[in-house]
Amino acid sequence: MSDAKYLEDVLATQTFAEGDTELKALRAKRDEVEKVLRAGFPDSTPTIKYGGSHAKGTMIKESYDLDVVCYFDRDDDGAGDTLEAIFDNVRDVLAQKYAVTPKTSALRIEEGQGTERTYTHVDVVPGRFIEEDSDDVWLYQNGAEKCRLRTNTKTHVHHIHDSGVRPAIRLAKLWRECYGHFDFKTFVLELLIVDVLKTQKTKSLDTQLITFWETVRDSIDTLTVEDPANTNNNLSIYLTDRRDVLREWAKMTLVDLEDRGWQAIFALPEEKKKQQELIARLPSIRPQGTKPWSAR
Amino acid sequence: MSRRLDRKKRTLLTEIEAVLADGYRTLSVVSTDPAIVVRGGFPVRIEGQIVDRFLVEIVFPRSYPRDIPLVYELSGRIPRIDDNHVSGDGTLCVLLLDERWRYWRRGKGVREFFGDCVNDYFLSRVYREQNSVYPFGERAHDVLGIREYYAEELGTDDWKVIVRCLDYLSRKRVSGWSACYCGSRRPLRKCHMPKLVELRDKIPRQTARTSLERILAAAQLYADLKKLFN
Repeated sequence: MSDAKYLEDVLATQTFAEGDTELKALRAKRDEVEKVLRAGFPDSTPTIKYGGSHAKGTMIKESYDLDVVCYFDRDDDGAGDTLEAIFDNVRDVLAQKYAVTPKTSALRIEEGQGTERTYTHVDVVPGRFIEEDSDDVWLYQNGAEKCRLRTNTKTHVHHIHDSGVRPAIRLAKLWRECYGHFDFKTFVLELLIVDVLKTQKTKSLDTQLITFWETVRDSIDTLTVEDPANTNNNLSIYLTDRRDVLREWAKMTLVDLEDRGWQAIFALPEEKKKQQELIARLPSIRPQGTKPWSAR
Repeated sequence: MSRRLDRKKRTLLTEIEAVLADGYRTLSVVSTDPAIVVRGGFPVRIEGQIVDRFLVEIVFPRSYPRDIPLVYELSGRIPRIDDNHVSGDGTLCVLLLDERWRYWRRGKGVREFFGDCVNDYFLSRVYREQNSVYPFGERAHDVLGIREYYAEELGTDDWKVIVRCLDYLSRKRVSGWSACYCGSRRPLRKCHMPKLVELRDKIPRQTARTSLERILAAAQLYADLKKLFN
């Protein structure tokens, strides 16, 4: 089997089939959230639609969430006069039915209480259109230095959806989740990949990924990212703190790839299950081992 | 003196590079001055099979092997909270130094440190992520962990006994006519001398002294707080 074929098989395991129960449940939850929002703002007609990886076509089963944007018209003050008021009021409406955790621009929705809380995989992003016939929006930035951000979801979606490298983006997200288990802002990762692979669209998937990792390993310090919807948004600040981590993971991946092949980077479900079973058997395989301690 | 130290460091560097080349190719030496620093992906193994990996930095202090290498996890996968056995400065508390003899005997080298102590720490982490418990157990935090260990050795968790024993362990010499640490009032040579000799062989004086000081500092804090609230 060729490397590219193996990677395509990996991607297939990360794709929701149309009749998938998880996907059905997700869409049902999204519809439920929309009903709650519309009932909460009866005098407004916000635009509520998919954003994020669902709209971009970069969703992976391993770690997914559904971004639902809730944008109010410029002259619609049904949810509040200011961006902060809109953010708070949308939060309060959702809080009548769900447990809501505010992030920077989004509201994470969970169900249940205390330790029983479960993530619904739905995040709501409140905002306000800037002009009547434009898709540019203002988003509130909770706790950030600048309290508002100008952006355009449609531009983001098209930039990623039409990049020609969506499979590479999806595999890179899977790599971040399952191989590295490290935090790295998804949108910045997507933009990096689109930029690094802009001349590699016709190359095979394995070649694309290797090119990406080699570029990160060798040139991460000079790479920059720009918000395609607003060049004033300095996204490189997200890159600054994580350059070293990304570089080290890229280095490690390339060595591992050389030594052990693609299976070491992306395990198929059967292989992953074997690993999990091996870990579960650890107490019987190795009954004694070093006990960790903490000095505080 | 400095030429001897350089030779010592060169020997250690050779040993480290040999270990990295054979089983830890995703790690590399990134600095040798002032300390030897290794960085990269640490492969976590069960029965030789890699089941996970962590991004680490391992610093070999000048006092190695008297002091163990410092291990840091760089990705933030292990939150720096007490329950995760991570110190305030980010070093992973791979083991309680008093029981180092059990997991990383004198004379064992880098390969054994990586393959047993560090691998076990991360294995515990991976297992815990799946099962919410530590597979090999864990030591209690701070002085309670120290007490836990000495209670196993001495057969009692009496603080006074443990403190007296640690005091003897931290001295250069202990007379057999000194009162036994157990509180029996008999001389050591007619009481628990063999146990003390056994422990002195296993536990370095400096390690015992550090544990003793930690316990005494905690006791002082406890006394101060008691005074404050009484």
